[in-house]
Amino acid sequence: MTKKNILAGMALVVGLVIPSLAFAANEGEEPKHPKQGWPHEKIIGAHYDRAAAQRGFQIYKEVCHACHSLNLIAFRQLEGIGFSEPEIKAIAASFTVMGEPNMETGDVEERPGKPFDYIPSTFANPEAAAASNNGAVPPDLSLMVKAREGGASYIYSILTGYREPTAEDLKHVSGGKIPDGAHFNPYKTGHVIAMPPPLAEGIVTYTEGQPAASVEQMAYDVSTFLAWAAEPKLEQRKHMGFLIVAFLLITSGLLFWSYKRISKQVLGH
Amino acid sequence: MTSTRPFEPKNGFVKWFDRQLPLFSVMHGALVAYPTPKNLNYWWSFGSLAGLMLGVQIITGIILAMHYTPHTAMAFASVEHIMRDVNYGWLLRYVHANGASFFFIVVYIHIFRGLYYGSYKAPRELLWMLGLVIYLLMMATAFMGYVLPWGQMSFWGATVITNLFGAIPFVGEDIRTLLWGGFSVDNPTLNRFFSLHYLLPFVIAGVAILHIWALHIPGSNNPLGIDVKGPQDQIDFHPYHTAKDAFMVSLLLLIFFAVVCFAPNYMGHPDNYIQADPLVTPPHIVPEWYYLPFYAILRSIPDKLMGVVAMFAAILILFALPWLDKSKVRSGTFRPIFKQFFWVLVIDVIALGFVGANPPEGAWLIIGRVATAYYFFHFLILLPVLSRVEKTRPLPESISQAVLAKHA
Repeated sequence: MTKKNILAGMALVVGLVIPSLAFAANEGEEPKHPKQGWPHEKIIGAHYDRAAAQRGFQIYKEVCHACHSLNLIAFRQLEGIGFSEPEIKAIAASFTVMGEPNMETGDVEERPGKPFDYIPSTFANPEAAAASNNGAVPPDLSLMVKAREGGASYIYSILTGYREPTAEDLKHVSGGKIPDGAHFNPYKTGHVIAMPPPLAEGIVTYTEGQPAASVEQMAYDVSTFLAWAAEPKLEQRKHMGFLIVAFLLITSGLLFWSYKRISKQVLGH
Repeated sequence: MTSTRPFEPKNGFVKWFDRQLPLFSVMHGALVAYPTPKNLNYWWSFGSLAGLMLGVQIITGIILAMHYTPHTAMAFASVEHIMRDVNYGWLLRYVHANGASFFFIVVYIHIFRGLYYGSYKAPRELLWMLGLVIYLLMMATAFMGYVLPWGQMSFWGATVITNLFGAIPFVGEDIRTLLWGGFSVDNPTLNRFFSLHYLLPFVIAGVAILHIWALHIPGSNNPLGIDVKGPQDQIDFHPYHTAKDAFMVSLLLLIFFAVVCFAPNYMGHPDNYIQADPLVTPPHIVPEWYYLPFYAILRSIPDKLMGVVAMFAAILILFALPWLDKSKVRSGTFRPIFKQFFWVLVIDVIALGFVGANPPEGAWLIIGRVATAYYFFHFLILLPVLSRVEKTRPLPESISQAVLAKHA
């Protein structure tokens, strides 16, 4: 094959992969996310901002948890964002979970959480969650960062994107006005969101030595925490990826050299 | 094909074993002494690469099945259990999910290589058709595999695709009920898809063995498309191709692991990280990227049944290719007009891919219809006519002569 053909062949490979881009693309209506460049999105040295993730857990516990479950996270896993064993024990004990059936009576009683427990939902079942939230179950947040285009940036945008709609904004809203009890948020598909603005100045008090709990800071922190919750093995994966790619680059070079040598021996060129 | 290197084992055990069951001599014939044309280029490595990806999928799949629970209430959580609690489970799952995409990338390159160099022509028609059978089995296997995580796209993709079978006259409804194991996509559907998703890769492996067997009877085609005239045109598989394929394997793994480790969800869809909910339909239901050209053909026809017919015809037509393209010259290198239209077909299929990824409205619908029409025009009219009227360039005397001329 000529060089031109090889180029065209490479274009084919790219062309076959690119369609996935096309259906990953958004409606083109939502504005660009203001917050980009998260430390965990780097290729080399990717890491979760531990301090931010710990503050983010505090936001989740004190704000989001009132409505949103986090079913896939057990307290023991909080080790992943740098909480120590005593800290995890204390965090777990601050939640109340349904215990095991009593050996004598068979009654199930509530007890303080333990590290092996999963973070309990505020609601006993989805019906109860729906009943308290205008008939819709607030989605579980465990995988939210991976379930939305834009990842952590999307969460940050939603949390900081609430504002009064202008007349121009309302043109893009179906029906031309915001339904009662709903809110305008340009980052949500359709620009209407049922969730009231969850973050406000002073809603959470950070411990001494932490940055001031502005809405932007809280949004950054809880987005970092939810990014970790969705992909707790990310650091390990990217670190391993760096080693694998380095190894395979060297191996490919050696194998190419040995192929060329063998080719010279058996084919003469 | 006669080997230039007869199998002469020195080891007593191998001799004894091979006398009773010639496993070693068969392997020797296939992987060591298999004589190949001297002039194979890198595109000929993609058969080996496809075999590698099948192996990767089977091994990772078997381990994943040890941790996965095929039940509508538990499947989604069991996949996340693999991602979070199983040792290196995240690696296994991402390798398996992206492995499917890379298997298709490799196989698409392998198919287009066959199309360009006329590898489907006599005496390799059966080899070509066995390859297409593998491709069809891959489509079925990948489709059912995508249902298993029981996310929103799993569920709604399964609903859309299984509903297509309902369009078949008379028996369609019954086939659909059989696929579902009930009256909608539900737990019985998930159970049978899991069972079949485990079974079909071994059927693929079986047909792949037939594919290799059918390859080794006439031997490999080559970039010049002319027949091998004698041993001077050939080289043993080992060490030349083992070295070459090893390099290509390493290169493939390099790209593969770069994607697995740095962009494992790039070829997936975010909606599949939402657990399946039969009451909430996603705004756009899109299949995996490797089905998009056929999905575009399906949707470019206004009638549901005819759309399904066109979609299946787009694949089945390839079975007739050896008889549609009657040109005696195999390689596109010596077919100046065919060569141009080959690239038009490549662009056409890529365009169909983009159309399949977008909603069927406005310009996308028109592009989709034109591209669908061209696809069938290419195979049904262009190739038969071209093979009669095209003036081909003169073929070289022999492979060895062409190789000598090139490296003189």
